[in-house]
Formats: sequence, C-alpha cells, structure tokens
Amino acid sequence: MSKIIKVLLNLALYSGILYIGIIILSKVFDIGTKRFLVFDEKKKKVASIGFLIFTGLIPVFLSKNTYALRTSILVLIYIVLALSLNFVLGFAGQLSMGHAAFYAVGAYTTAILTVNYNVPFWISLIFSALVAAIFGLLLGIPTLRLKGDYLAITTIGFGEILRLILINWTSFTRGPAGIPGIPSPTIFGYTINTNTGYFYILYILALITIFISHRLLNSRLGRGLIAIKDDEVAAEAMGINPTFLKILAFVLGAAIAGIVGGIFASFIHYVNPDNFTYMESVVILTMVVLGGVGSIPGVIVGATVLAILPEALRGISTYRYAIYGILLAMMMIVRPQGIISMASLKGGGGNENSRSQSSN
Amino acid sequence: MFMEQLSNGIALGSIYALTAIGFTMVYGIIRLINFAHGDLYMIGAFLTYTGLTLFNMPIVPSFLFGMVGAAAFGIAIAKFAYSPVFKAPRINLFLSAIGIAIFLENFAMLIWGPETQSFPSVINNKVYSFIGIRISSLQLIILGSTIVLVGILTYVVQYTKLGRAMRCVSQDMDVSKLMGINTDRIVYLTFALGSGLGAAAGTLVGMYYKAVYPMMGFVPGLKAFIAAVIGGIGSIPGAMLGGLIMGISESLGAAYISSGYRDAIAFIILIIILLLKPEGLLGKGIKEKI
Amino acid sequence: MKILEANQVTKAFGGLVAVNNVDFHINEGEIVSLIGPNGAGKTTFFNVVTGIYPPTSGEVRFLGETIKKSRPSEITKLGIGRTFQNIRLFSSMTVLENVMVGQYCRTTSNLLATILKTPKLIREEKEVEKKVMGILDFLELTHLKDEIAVSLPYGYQRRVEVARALATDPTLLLLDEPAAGMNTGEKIEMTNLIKKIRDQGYTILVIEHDMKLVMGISDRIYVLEYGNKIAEGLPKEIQNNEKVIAAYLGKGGNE
Repeated sequence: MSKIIKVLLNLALYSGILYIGIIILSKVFDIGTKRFLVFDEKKKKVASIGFLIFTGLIPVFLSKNTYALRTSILVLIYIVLALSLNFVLGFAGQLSMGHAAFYAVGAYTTAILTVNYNVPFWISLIFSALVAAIFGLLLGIPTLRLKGDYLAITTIGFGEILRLILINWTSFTRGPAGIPGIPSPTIFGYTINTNTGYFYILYILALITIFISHRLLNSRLGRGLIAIKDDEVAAEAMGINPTFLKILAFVLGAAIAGIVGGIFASFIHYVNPDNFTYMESVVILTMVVLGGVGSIPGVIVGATVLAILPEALRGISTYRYAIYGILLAMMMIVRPQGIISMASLKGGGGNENSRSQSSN
Repeated sequence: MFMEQLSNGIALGSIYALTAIGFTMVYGIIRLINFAHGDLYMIGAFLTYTGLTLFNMPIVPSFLFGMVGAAAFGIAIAKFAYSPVFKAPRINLFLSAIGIAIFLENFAMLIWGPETQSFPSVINNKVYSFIGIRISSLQLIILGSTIVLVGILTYVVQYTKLGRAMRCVSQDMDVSKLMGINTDRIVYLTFALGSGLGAAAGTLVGMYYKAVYPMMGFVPGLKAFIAAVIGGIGSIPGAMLGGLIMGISESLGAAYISSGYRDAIAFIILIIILLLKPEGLLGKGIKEKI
Repeated sequence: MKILEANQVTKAFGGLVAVNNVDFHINEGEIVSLIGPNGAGKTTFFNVVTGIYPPTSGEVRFLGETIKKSRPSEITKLGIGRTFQNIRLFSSMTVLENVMVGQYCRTTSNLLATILKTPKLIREEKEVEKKVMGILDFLELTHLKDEIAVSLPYGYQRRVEVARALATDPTLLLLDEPAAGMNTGEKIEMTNLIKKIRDQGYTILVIEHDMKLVMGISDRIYVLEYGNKIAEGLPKEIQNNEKVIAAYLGKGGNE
C-alpha cells in the first residue's frame, strides 16, 4: 500500500515538474522565436553560423566525457529520426506510428550486408536507404485511402508485422539473438571507430536532413504537402495529386530513417529486434509532437529534450515511459501546437490550436 | 485438432468481442479510438488479481472489483485526459489517448512490477467432450460470462432510459444537449461501461492463460479495434461478429499457417477490410460533404 | 463559344434522382448562375460538372472534350477552378502561400530540383511569385499577404479563396455560394469583384442562394428544383417566371 502511495506521489511530482517545464520551455522559445524573427538577414545568418560552430565543437568540449558524448550521438540520431518522421507527419499530415520499422529496415540491411556479405559500409548504407524507401512505398500505397486514427493503427500493424518477421525469420535475421559484429566505416583508409567520428557522421547527416527539410518546406512540393495536411479536399481542388505527394513523403522519410538505422547499427555494432519496438516509434512521434508538428526547429528541440531527458532521469529510469505518456497527453491539453509551432515561425503567435479546429 | 482449435477460437473470439464492444461504444459516443482501452483491460485483470491475492476475496467479488475499478479508471481518464480536448481536432484526442495508454502500461509496471504474475487457479478446469467436440470448463465460463454481459448490455442500451440517452448522444451530441440530456454524464457512463467490459475480458484472459502482465493489453487492444472495424465501428453486434471472426481466424491461422505470425493475422485482416469494405460488415459509411 | 456544356445529364443515387435530364451551357465570358431551393440538386450538378460524380446518363463537355469521372485535381488541370461554400483555406499558411498553392498544377519542379535549387526552380519560383502578386494586387489583398489566411475577417477569407482559384489559371471559375454568411456590405463588394473578374476574360459559374446578388451579376440564370431544370433565361425573365416564384416563395422564400 505504501508503495502505491509512493508511486502516486512521485507521478504527481513528475507531472508537476513536466507541466512547469513545458510552460517554461514554451515561454522561452516563444520569446526567442519572436526575437529571432525580427533579426535582419545578416544577423540571422550570423546567429545560425554561430550555432553551427558551437554544436559542431561539442566533441571537443566533451572529449573527456565519453558518456556525454555518447548521449549527444543519441541526440543526433533522434534528431534525424524525428525529422524523417516530420516529412510524413509534419509536412504531409499523415499520422504514421510505425516509423521505427524503417529505422529497423535500415539497420538490418546494413547489418546483414556488412556481416554476411562483406559489403563495404558506405555501399550498404546506400542499400539501407533504398530498401527502407521501398518499404516506405509498400506502406504508403495501401494506406493512401486511410486517414488519421485508421492510418495510425495500420502503421502500428506494419511495424509489428515487421518485428515479427525479424524475430521469426531466423535463417536470415538470426531472430531474437540479433546480429553482432557490425563493422565500423572507413574513409580514405581510416577506420572511424571513435565516438567523435560517429558524432561527425551523424552531424553531417543531421545537417543534410535539416537542409532537405528546409528546401522542401519552402518550395512548390512543400506547399503541396502542407496543403494536403491542412485540407486534402481543397488541395485536390488546387490541382494537387495527394497520392503522389503522400508517397513522396513516406519514401523520403523512410529513406532517411533507413540511413540513420544503418549508422546506428554500425555505431553499436549489434542489432536485435528489441531495438525497434512500438515504443521506439512512440518516442519518435512524441519528439515531433512535443517540438511542434511540421516545425523544423521545433522538431530538433523536441528530439533533443526527449533524448536527453532519460539520461537526466537516470535515477528514476523506471518512470521514464510513464513520464513520456503523461507528457504526450499533457502536451495535447496544454500546448497542442508544440514548443515551437509552425505558426509561430511565421509570426502568427502560439495559438495555432484555435485555428486548426476549422480544418477538421 | 480442428474442433479443438475452433472451440479455442470461439473462446478467444468472445474475449475479443467483449473488448471490442467497449471500444465501439466509446467510438460511437465521442468518435474516439480509445487507444487506452486495451490497457484498461489490463488494469481490470490486475485489479482482479489483486482482489484474489492481496485481499483474499473469492473470485466473483474480485471479478466485480476489477470491473468497477477499471470503470473508475475509465471515468478518470475521460475526465482528466480526454474531456479537455473533446473540442480540439481529432488527432489531438487520439494522441492524448496514446499518451494515456503508454502511461497506464508503465503505471502497472510501477505498481505490480514488470514481470508476469501468475494468476491463481480459481476453478477446477475439466475438459468435457460431446459429439467429438472437446471444450474445457474455462472455455465454457468465458463463453457464458460473455453471453451474460452482452445480454445485460443489450438490455441497457435497448430498453432503458440510459440506453436511449446513449443512442441519442451517439447520433448527435449537440442536439442531445439541447434535448436536455446531460451529455457529460452519458459520456462518462459510456466510458465506465466500456472499461468495465474491457476489464471483464482482461480478467477472463488472465484466468484462461493463468497470467497477467503490464503489456497484456497492448496487442488485444489493437485487435479489439480491428474486430470493431471488421464489424463496422460503432455497431455493437458488429463488434461481436468481428471479435468472433478474429478469434477463430487467429486460432486456425496459428495452427495451420504459422504460430510465430499469430499477431500478424489480425493486421492483415484489417488491411484487407479497410481496402475492400472500409465501413465494416455491419457498419454504415459516412461521406464528407464538400 | 461554349465553354461548358451539359447534355441531358441525369444523376441518380440508387432510386433517388438528384439531377434529372438537365441541359445546360455556358458561353465564353459569361457569368451564369445556378439557383434553386435547398436540396434542388445544385451541389450534385456541380459535382457532376467537376467530374467527382460520373453522370448516370448524358454527358458533360468542357472546351469540347467530354469530362470523364476523374480526380478533382485532374479537372483543375483542365482549367476549372473552384471555391467552396464553407471556406476551406489552408490554415497554417499565409495569404501569399495559400494563393501560391494554386500555381502548383502549373509548375513542374521535382524533388531533386527542389533540393538542389536548380536555376529552373529558381526561375519557376520567381514566376509563380510574380503571377501570384499580380493576382493579389488585382484582388486588393497585397497588404495582407503575410497574414495567416484563416485569421482574416470573413470577407477577406472569401477573397483569398477566389484568389487561390484564380491562381490555378482557370478557363472557367466555379464559385460555390460566394456570398454565404456575408453581410450586405461584403455582398456588394463580392458582386463588384465577380464582375471585375469577368472583365478580365474569365468565364464564371455561380451557385448561390442570394437572389439580389444573382440578379445583379448574372448574364443568364438556370433554376433547378427537385433535380429538374424549371427555368432558364435572363435575370429579368427569371424574376417574372411563375414556376420560379412558386418554388421560392411557395416554400418560404429565399434564404
């Protein structure tokens, strides 16, 4: 009985802290976004380059602290994963809850190709992207007719089926035992097996993903995607073919998740089906929702916060997922548009919720 | 072999049906796919287990304790997590439900531990056989409880004032409000009924497999959703039909195709149904007016 | 020249005949209105014209070509732009972005060009922006271009919808109840706007309840009741047509 009371008290405490945390983070970023938006182009550029240099030097700052450096590698992995889901959820507005499946496909492709067939890492990484993209296509096509929650459940099903295949097809995937001994990449004869090396590979991948997201968002295709998210009927009336764009979003998101999966496999040198459960998909989803669906800086912040949170909560790690659950529900009530909403980036203020109602 | 799988499938199917009915009722009222429904089923099973082991109550009071407790959970969730987002876009409500589902699973881990707990044997399980069909007393209990509960529910929905109010709210909440129905109360009662039925299903599963564990509701929750979709979401007879179809096809599929892919069968059925007859076997399609 | 032509079009849903044997056409440069009481089959007719529903019998020809059942996006590409009776603007976009979406079907940049920002893409984006700014200027929306479209007052939102439809480069513009929910002042503005658009050479089909607006702008009017065409002609003729008066006044006047 006393245990139950302790658990309840702890949960109440953590919920309170979360609530305050969300409010503070939101306020900080609201003010920050407003400040940043009034900068002129030159100041914006200086600020962005300064930020890039600072984050790029993280391995130098953390060279003594292996644990912190590994955490920042995880942060980068999740930033890329969350941004890749953002193509599907944030741009095209499709609630996909099987995103870890693409990550798994990428990781297993690299694992199997490098370990069983001695394919060089970089080539297998290309295959990771391709195979994951094919899976994106396979999932994208049957789900085109589905919306919202139906789509969500079907994508969960897709993820679960894939996990069952990884477990049961032992001759190919070694089943629950997983695949050990995945090699490190080499560049110009140098083997990259340090944390710093992986940090920079992932850092470059994250930059490329941000770059692609940004270019896409501010283009014809991006406008088409957002139009589908906002109102599919109106988008069709504007001559937009939703089929093509939705599949494009799925394929692009899957390919990028596949690449980061391949790098992850090499980073930990071992994959097994437990790395890619449904919870992993939920974690990625929560990152996007927390940060702000569709908002590139928001998703980066969301991924960073949620990737660091479990490390910061190491002492109470048993509460980790319970806190994730509360966080997701609380966000929907307190700040559904996310910490840095898409609207706030356009100077539209934080209150996106009241408006988006009309579109549903 | 075939007959054994069939009776197994019917027992399983009636559990899916019970779970799916709760799902479909909540959907009927507030158009929410209550993602946490499967976890209320788990909470119900754990509460019954607690009643049996910690409070040393006999099975029937424990069973009721589980149902009532889960109903209380259902109401609390509806009140604190769902009602603030009723008016928001549907996706917000759904994400909130996902959050609650994850919370409940991990809450159970914190309270009862992550391990599988063995559910005490409460009855003497005998196997009867007549005209070549072998059926165990547990299977009979599952079937019997399902029939009784569904009977009570049908009576409530069809012949009581509460049931009439529920049907009104499910057709048009705003108009029901204007007609003087306390819609909030109806919503909470629906959650309570749905969660109670889910808890009954969870307890029956606990008895059947003699085990309860925090993640036990996740896959059945998804399957209950699928069963509800097969039958036509929002339709109670549809949920029962869907549950039976799922239970039987799963038992037969696991026996004759591959047991490793048992859980995949449900999703394959779902995809086929959504592509061929998205409104479900007994459901009505709704089209958006442009 | 006939822009749009419907020959003996019938649309039935099971036993219910929503549109019954209707002949209809619009000449180039005309403003034609389609009116009728609620449930007269206007929306169904609209959906047949735009290819969402295939007609049960008869045919619809646009610029001489038969319209087959096709995706709405294909119809837009053919040159039919539309607005919606319940405004459907893209809620997370600014006015400028909303209208730029209209140009989607007239541009071709693919993913690779988008990522690499090829010269062709830059040129295309510039052309789109120039064109869209022209439309915004024309509809007097330029000063609002960076506002979130759905945060604007109602009358402006309607105007943005019209701008967005014009951005699809339509030959025929379909306006679905353009004055719904507007006050008198806004209705007068909308009337002027529709005429102004026609003067730019667009052909316009209006579906509307508001008699005053319809009488004020239409070159010709078609009246539907219970799926049947009960009258067609000049506004003056319609005003004095007994069947029309009966259909409207006999059932409680217009709305």
